[in-house]
Amino acid sequence: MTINTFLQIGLFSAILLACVKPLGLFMASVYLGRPTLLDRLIRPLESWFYRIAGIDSKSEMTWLQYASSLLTFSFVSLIAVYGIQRLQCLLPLNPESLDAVSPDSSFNTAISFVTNTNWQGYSGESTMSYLTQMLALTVQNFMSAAAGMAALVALIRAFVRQETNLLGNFWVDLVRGTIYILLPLSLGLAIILVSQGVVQTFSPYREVALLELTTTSDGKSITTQKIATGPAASQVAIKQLGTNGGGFFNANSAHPFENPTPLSNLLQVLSILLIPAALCLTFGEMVGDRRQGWALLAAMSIVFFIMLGISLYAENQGNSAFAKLGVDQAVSDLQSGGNMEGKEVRFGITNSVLWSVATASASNGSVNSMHDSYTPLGGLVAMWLIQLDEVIFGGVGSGLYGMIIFAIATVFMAGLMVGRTPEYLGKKIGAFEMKMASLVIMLPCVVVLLGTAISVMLAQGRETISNPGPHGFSQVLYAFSSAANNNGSAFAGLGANTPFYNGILGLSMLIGRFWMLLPVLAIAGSLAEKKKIPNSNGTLPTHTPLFVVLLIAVVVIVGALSFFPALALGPIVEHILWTKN
Amino acid sequence: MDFVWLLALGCFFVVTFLLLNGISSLRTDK
Repeated sequence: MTINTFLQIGLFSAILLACVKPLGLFMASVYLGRPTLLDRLIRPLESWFYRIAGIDSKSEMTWLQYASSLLTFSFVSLIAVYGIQRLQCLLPLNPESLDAVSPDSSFNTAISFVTNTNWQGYSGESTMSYLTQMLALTVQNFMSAAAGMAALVALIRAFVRQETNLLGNFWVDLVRGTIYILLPLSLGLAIILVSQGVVQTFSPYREVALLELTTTSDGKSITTQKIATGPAASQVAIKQLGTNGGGFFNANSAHPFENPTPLSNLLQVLSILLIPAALCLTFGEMVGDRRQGWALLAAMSIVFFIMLGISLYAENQGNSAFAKLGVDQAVSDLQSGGNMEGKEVRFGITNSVLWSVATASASNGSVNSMHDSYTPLGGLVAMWLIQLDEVIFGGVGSGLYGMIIFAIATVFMAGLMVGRTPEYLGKKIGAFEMKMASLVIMLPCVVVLLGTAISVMLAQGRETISNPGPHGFSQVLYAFSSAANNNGSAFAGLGANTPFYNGILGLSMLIGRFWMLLPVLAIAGSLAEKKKIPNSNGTLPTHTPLFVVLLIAVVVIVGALSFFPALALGPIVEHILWTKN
Repeated sequence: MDFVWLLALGCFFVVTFLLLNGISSLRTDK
């Protein structure tokens, strides 16, 4: 690692930290209904939305109504996204005359975008028309992110309110999250990205003459190349800010039209963590104690930077197979050194690894390098961050509500150790909350391990694995970790666009999203009905460094216990074989 | 084929709404 590495990580961290507080407080104002700077511009639009949709913005919902609204909205969205893909050949804005997407791929992609996963078994430029990319996929990037934030806000309200069964109005939270937070940020980012060279056009793909002529294996000469373009910038902005991650092009943010310059790279990687980090402050502000938000942010950041350090170390070591061949992998003025397989030369090790750790921890899933080509340890870092239930920053809304569930589990365990009644933010944690919290924590683990086991046992699962041995197993384990935790990144190498994987990964994404949301909202409903109890000498403070350490320990131990045996069959044994050879 | 995939989606949401009811009754039972 060079000084340049530390400078770049330092710059990234400083900008992120500087943005967390203002954005977090702004989002709190949006959800608390306080006046904001954007009111004059957006309030009329908001009122218009409510009028045409027939929403009574003053009425509130119980947790059951809130959950039912979220589920109904998601179901309708799924059908719409499925339908647009199947009918795209008949719809406008399809200059390449692309055919309808296959039924199994439409099923998988609809689920993927509605659940905020953005797992992509298809290649964007050769599969999706401009209309599908915009109307189906980009719209869901906004909606799925806003729905996750709405669920989080309902949970936060449960800590603030007492003796009520009302948690707010899902439709109001959805609309406000979209038009006050996601749309303005995305608009600003998209404009900057266009200035950097990210394409935004309805023009058909361009046929250009090759600078260097080439021939195919059967001797046919190739003189031209088709360059895919499209309305990419508007999709790229929200794919990062909404922690969606689905690329406009197949190569995602390694494609020069999605991520052309060092500035576009910095802004995109910042955007991945921006809202999940700022929501911690939103939480602190809404519960009336900002220290609570800082404590959760500190826990996330500590794990993030430790994992970043491990991945940077591993990738800077280079590839031992190349070392045996005498390939120079040392840092010099001419090369960044280390393991550069699958990485863009223009980004080097630091910016590739920073992106990989950010995208894995934040449930984003976009990539600017290929995780399949990382060293076993580098790949393990990305995979394990996903397997920690996506609570180290996590998805917008979903990451923080996952972390709050871990905080509830932590106060419960601390209570067991010292014989105190567990309470969090003045609410007693009872048997029902712990049952639901256990479901939230264990469900993704079950889906990941079961899905992986089924896939490696069946011929349909094994036949599209591109690597033999532990690396092939890692590809499958990574795919299920990514789907069930709604991350969406792929290890690459696994041929996942088959009816088998489209079906089973689709089901994993559905369970990972909706069966997690139900217990979270049930906890919210239960806590809102409880009285707030004042702090006493017996209360475990939840804003102190001790609590941060306890919380990290619970997250890490649960993650380690659940996945160590599976990881031992994949990246760990691969690392041992690697170092041995 | 569309029917099969849409049916799968429908079935998942029916099960999910049943689960929602189940969790809700679990709370009432406590």
